[in-house]
Amino acid sequence: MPILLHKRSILPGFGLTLGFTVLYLGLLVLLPLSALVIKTLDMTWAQFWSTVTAPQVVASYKLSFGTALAAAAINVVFGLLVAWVLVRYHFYGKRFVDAMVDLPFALPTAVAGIALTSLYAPTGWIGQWLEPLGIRVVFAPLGIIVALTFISLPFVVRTVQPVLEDLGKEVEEAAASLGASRLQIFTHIILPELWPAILTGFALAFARAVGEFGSIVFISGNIPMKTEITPLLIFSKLEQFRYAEATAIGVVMLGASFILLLVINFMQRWANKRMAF
Amino acid sequence: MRETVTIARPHAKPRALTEPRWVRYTLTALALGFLALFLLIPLVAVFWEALSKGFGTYLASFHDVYAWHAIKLTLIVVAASVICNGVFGITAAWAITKFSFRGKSLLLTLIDLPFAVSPVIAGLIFVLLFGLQGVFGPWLRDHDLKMIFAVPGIVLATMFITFPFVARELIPVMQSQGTEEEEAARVLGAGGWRIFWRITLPNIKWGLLYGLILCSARAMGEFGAVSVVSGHISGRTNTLPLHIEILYNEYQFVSAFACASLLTLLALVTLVVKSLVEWHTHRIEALAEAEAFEDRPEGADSPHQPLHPHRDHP
Amino acid sequence: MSISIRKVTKRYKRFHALDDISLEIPEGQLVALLGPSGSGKTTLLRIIAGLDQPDSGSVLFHGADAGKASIRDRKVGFVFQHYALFRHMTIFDNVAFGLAVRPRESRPSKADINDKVHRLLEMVQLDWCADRYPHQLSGGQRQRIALARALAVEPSVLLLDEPFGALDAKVRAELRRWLRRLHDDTGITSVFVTHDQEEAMEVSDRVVVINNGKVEQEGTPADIYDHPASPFVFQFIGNVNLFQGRVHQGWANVGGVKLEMPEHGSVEDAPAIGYVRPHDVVVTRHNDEGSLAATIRHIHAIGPLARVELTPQKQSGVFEAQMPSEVVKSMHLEVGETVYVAPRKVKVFIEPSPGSSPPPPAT
Repeated sequence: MPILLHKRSILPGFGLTLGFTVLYLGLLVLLPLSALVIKTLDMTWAQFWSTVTAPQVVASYKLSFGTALAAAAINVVFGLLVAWVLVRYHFYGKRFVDAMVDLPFALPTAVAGIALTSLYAPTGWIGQWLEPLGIRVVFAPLGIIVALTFISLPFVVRTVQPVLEDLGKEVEEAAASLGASRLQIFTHIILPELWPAILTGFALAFARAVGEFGSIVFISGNIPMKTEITPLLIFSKLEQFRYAEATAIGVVMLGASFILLLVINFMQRWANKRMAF
Repeated sequence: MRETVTIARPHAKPRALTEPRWVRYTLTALALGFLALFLLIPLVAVFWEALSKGFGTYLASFHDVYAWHAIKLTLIVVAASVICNGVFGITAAWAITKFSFRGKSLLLTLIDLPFAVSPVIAGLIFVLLFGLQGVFGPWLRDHDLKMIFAVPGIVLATMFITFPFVARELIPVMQSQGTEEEEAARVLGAGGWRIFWRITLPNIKWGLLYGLILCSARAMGEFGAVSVVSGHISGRTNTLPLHIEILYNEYQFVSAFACASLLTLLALVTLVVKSLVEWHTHRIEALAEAEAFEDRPEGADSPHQPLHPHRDHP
Repeated sequence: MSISIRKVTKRYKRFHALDDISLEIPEGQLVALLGPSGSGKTTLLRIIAGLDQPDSGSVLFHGADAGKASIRDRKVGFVFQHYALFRHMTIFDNVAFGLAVRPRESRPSKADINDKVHRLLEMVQLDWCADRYPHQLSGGQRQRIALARALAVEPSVLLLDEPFGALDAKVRAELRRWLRRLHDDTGITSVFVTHDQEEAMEVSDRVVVINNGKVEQEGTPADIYDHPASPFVFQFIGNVNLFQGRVHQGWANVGGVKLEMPEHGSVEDAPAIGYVRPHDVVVTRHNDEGSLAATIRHIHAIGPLARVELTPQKQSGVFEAQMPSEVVKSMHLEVGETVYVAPRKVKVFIEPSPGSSPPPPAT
C-alpha cells in the first residue's frame, strides 16, 4: 500500500485486516453517505438554498437545536451532580444507581417515547400535577426537552465520572492546607480539571439530542412550525416522496453533525494535551 | 431509597476535605431525585401500563401473529448486526492497535462517523442508494430485487447505526494490552490465527462481550433509521419498536406497553450483564493492584523499599 | 511553634498504623520522621497536618489542642511527595493561591501578592518561570515551587512528606542541602518524612525512627548512629554485620569472640546477636586473643574507602570490613589470604524468646 506506510511489525494480518476494515467502512458508511452528496448535486444552488431556508425548515432547526441545547445544559448540571455523588459519597444502592445511569443507552428510544408521553400526558402520573399549573409538556417543546434530557442523560455522567475518580486527592489537600474553603477548592481546583470532560459530555449529549427521532415522535405531536424537529421534517418529506428536499435538509443536518464531531475530537485532543503530566 | 452518607465511620474525613453533612445529604437527594424522575419512574410506568388491565391481557398481547413476526425480525436484525459488526470490530481493532500506519487518526474518526449521524439520515442515505429513484434503484428493479421496504434495507440501516460499537470498545482494550504477548507468540512460531485464538481473544473477551452487548441493545431498539427504510408493512417489515409505534397510534396501549416491556426487560438484562462485565474487569484490576501494593498498607508511602545493607550471620 | 503529639493511635481496618505515639517537636527545629514503608510515618505527618484524624490521642500546637481546628485553620504548610501543584495554573498563580483565596478582609492587595510571590520565587531561584505551567518544569523545580507555595501563607509549621522521594539521586542531594539552608534562614519548625536514612542524617536536627507504628528511638543524628537503641535502628541506619552468639552472666560469645557485657549481667545463657559496623571491624595479620581467623573473599577498593568481604574460617557466611583504601594498599591485602579480625566496638542485643515481641529484622 503506497500511502499507508507501516512500521515493520512481525505480526501478521496487516493487509488483510486493514483491507477488510477499509472495505467494510467504505461499503457500509462512506458509499451511502456519498449518495447524499450525489443527490444534493442534482439540485441547483437556488433550489437547495430555498429548500433549506423555507420558514418551516428554519423553525425546525431552531426547535431542534434549541431543545437539544436545553437538554444538554440540563444534563451538564445534573450529570455533574450525579457523577459527583456517585464518586464522592457512599449510600445504599450506589452500584444499582450507577448501573441505572446507562438505561437510556440500553432502552429503545420508542419505549422511552411512549413511557414519557404517558407520564406527562394531562392524565399521566406527572402530567396531572403540571396541568393545573398551566404547564404543558406533551405536544409542546417542553416535552421534546424532557425526552432529549432522558436520551442524552448518561453522556455527561460517563465523561465526568472517570476524570473525577482519577483526580488526585493531594491537590485538594494542598489547597485546603493553603487555607481554601471547600467551595473555593471546588471552583478553583476541581472544576478547572473537569471542564474538558464536561464540555465533551455536553457536545456528545448535544450531538445525540440533535439527531434524536424515536422518542420525539410520540411526545412532540409533530405540529409544523411548533413542535416539528428537523429529523421529523426529513421523515415527513420522505413520506411525501420529496426526496430532493429531504436530502437537502439532511445535508444541512449532517454538516452540523460533522462540525460537532470535529469539535468533540478537537476538545478531546486538547484535554489529553492539557492533562499531559 | 434510603441513604447513609459516611459520617459515623471511624475514619471520617476532616472537615476541610469533604462537605458538611447537610450539603452531602442535599446533593445526594437532588441527584437521586433527578435519576428517579428521569429513569426510575419511566421504567416503572412501562410495566405499570403493560399490566394495567391484568396479567391475562398482558399475555394476550403476545398472541398476535404480527407481534411474533416483529420479534422474529428483530432477532434476525440483531444477529446480522452483531455478527457483521463484531467481525469488523475485531479486524479494525487488530489493524489499528497492532500496527502503526499513516492515516490512522482519520480512520478512527471515520469509524466514529455513524455516532454523529442522525438515525433518520442513516435511513435516508439507504433510501437514496437503493430506493426506486436511488442510485442503484433501477438496477435492483430490473433484477427484481428489493432492498428498501424489505428486510435487507432494515438490516443495512441497523448495521450502519451500530457500526462503531464493537470497534470502539475493543480499540482501547487492545491498545492498553500492547503487542508484546502476540510478538512473543510469533517469535515462538505461532501463526496468525493461532495467535489470535490463543493470545488475543482470551485477553479481550470481556471487552468484546461488552461491545457485542451494546451493539445488540442498540440494534434491537433502533427506531429512526428502520422507520425510514421499512415502509411499516405489518407481518413483513415491522421490527418490535415499529410494531410498538403502530399499536400505540392505534390506541392499543396495553399491547404497545406489553411489547415495550419486553424490550425494557432486554434493556435491563443488558445493564446487568454490563455491570457484571465491569465488575469483573474491576476485580482483575484490583487484584493486580493489590499484588503490587501487597506489603504497603500505607498507600501514600514511597514505593521504594529501603535497603537494609547487612551481612549474613557468620 | 512547638508540636506535642500525645498518645496518638490510628488504625486502618485491623492494621495498626500508629500505636500510642507520643512525641515532642521543639520550636524551630528540623525533624525527620524516619522509617521503612508502611511504618506509619506518613500517617503521623498527615495527622499533624489535620489531613487525617487520629482514632485517639491529640496533637497540641504550642500547647493548645489542634484537634478541633481543620487543616484550613492550622496554619500548616504541607509539601507532598508528588508536588500536588495545580496543573491548570501558572507557577505564579500556584504560589499566590494561598493568598488569593483568603477572605476579602484579610486578603493582601494585588500589588502585595505580586511582590510576595516574586520574592518567594527568587528565594527558590525560579523567578524566571512565573508564567510557565507546572508541566514545563523538572521534578526538582516543581518541588521548589511546591515549597514556595507552602511558604507563601507564612505557616507556623512546615510539613514535608517524602519531599525528595520522586527525584533522582543528584537532584535529591542538591535539594537536601538547599532545604537545610532554607530552614536555617527561616527558622520555621519543620517536620519531614523520609525512608532514606542518609537524607534524615544529613538534613535534620533531630531524627525520630519509626517502625510498626511505634517510635523506636529519637535523638540527634549522631546519637542515633552511635548509640542505636534497638536492633531495628542498628540495621536500618548504616551498614552492619550480624554475628550470632550467646550471652551468659555478663559475658557474650559472638562469632567465637568473647566479650564482657556488664549490662547483660543477669542474663542466663540466652541467644544473642552482635552488631558490628563494618568500619569497626579491625583487620590484622597477627592472631591476638579474641580475634577471628577469616579469609578475604573480595576487595572493593574504589575511592577513598575500601570494602573487604571476609568469610570466617570456622563458620559459614560473609561479613564486611571497611577501611581507608590506603590501609588496604599498605597492608598489601590480597584475595584468598587469611587474616585476623577483631571488632573495635560491638553492640549485643539479646534475642527475644519466641512469642514475646517481634524478632529482630535479621534475615
